[in-house]
Amino acid sequence: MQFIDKHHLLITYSTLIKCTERVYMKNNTKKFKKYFTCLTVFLLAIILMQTNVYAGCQSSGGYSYCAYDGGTVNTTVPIYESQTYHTKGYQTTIGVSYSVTDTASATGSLSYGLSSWGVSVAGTIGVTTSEACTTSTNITFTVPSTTASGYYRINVVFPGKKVNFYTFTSEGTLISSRTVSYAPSENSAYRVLSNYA
Amino acid sequence: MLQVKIQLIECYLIMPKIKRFYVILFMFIILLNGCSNSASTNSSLEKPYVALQNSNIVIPLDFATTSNYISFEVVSDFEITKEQITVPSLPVEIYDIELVNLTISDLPMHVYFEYNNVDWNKMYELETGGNELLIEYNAYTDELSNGYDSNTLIDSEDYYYYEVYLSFSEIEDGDEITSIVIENSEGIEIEYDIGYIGFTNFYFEASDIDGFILKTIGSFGRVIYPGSYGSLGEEVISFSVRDEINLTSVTTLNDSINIDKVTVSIISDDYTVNKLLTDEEIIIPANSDVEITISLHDEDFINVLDYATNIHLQLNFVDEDVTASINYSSLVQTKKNFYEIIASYRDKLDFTSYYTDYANK
Repeated sequence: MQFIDKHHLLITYSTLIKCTERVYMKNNTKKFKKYFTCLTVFLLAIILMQTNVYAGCQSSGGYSYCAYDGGTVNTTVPIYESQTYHTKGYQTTIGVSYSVTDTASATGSLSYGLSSWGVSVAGTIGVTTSEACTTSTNITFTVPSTTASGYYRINVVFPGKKVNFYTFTSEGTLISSRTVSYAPSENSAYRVLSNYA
Repeated sequence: MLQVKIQLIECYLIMPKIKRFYVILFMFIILLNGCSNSASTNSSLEKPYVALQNSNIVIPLDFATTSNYISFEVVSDFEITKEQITVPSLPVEIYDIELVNLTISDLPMHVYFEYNNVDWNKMYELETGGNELLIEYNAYTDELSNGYDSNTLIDSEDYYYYEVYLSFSEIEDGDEITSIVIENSEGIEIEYDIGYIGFTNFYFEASDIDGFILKTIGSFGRVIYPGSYGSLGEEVISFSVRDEINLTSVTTLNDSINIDKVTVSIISDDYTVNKLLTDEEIIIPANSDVEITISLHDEDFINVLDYATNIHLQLNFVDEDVTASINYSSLVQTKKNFYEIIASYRDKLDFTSYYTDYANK
């Protein structure tokens, strides 16, 4: 479900009202220029609104600090130690000879606004600063005999999210923002078996 | 009820003083006992929680790419070792258990809302109701999030949160798993029904297409989220072809799984063409890289909070009037957040409405 972010809705709504006022209430020669400026701001606000999914906000000292789920982003980490050549006509077992731990980290700090607040609210949408996945020697995959010959390996996929942080005044005015392009989702890593050559 | 209370008070007043002393002492003991019980139920679990439930997994031993393991989460209020977990239906020599400690971060807001008796239908209506409901929506979320503190409701240090890897070394046709057993701290064995995991030699032959390379040949453990539609999300299959070939259909071999939409992206050096697969076949030009995105849903997953299944897919082609099929399999499963597990299992909160009426509506 795509949520409508209440703060951006307020900004968008107030911008639209101001645009209308400027175009129709003021009679000056620059009204079209102003109109297009307003329209651009309005469209940008709509774009901003549509790319965010509501996550969580906390208020402190007259400001509202919000984190928004900006959509799913995956990071794939190959396990090079598992690379194996498979020959068609034979079953091949692929695994690792020693335990391998792969990690995925957020591309930026999740702290924002108040100290440690960003981490706390980012956690409400299930993302974390770093996520690990260990592939032990007990884990193996079987490539069926019908699969084409080639090199295959295990890849670990870390699903995550883009996180947008915003600070608003109590009137709903946006005063600062920051984006973390990827933060791993908690405990959601999975493995895929891929051909790589 | 009021009459009963009055009679009790009257009885108390007419009692000799010595008897009054015993009554007060008795009530004091009951009070103390009650307090100690409530303290223990606050953090203790009746038994460990096993997240592997309602499994519906059939693993063909040479049908497609397979893994030799199943993983699932366990939450316990006592430390568990791998020796305490067994599979009754299999000889101990053919399987192995491994436990990995999982990290626990912050209390998700939706779990906190659930403790505050949120009405998810109302939340959905307010969020999607536009400007007219904005003030009411703000008031409702402010009321629900009031006093949010990650550690107040659930102290994560009271629990052990594991990912359990159950791996097999010599599985044979006909082997199956329907339960696992965990021995608790007092040595008592507790059996958990996990649904069905079966192994079979059932074989649906894959075709030999010259120059066809499946880039991703299997997926294991992708997380799915509950809902009223039973969506299994999207499966993405990549392949490359050397010669021109026609994609006619994508089919599933699972009875309960249906395909909603298939999008085919043909990627060349200069451009990418996205097409929706309908009854008409799609021509894949020679030397193309292709990505197929398949949206699926499962009738057995509708309004089910814990679930695991493996999806068997076939890509069907026509190559110079000869039909050909490529097999692909993917194991998908739900993974509950630690706080959701404690809230639902220990505190009996129901998250069905959160998923069906709000998050995945």
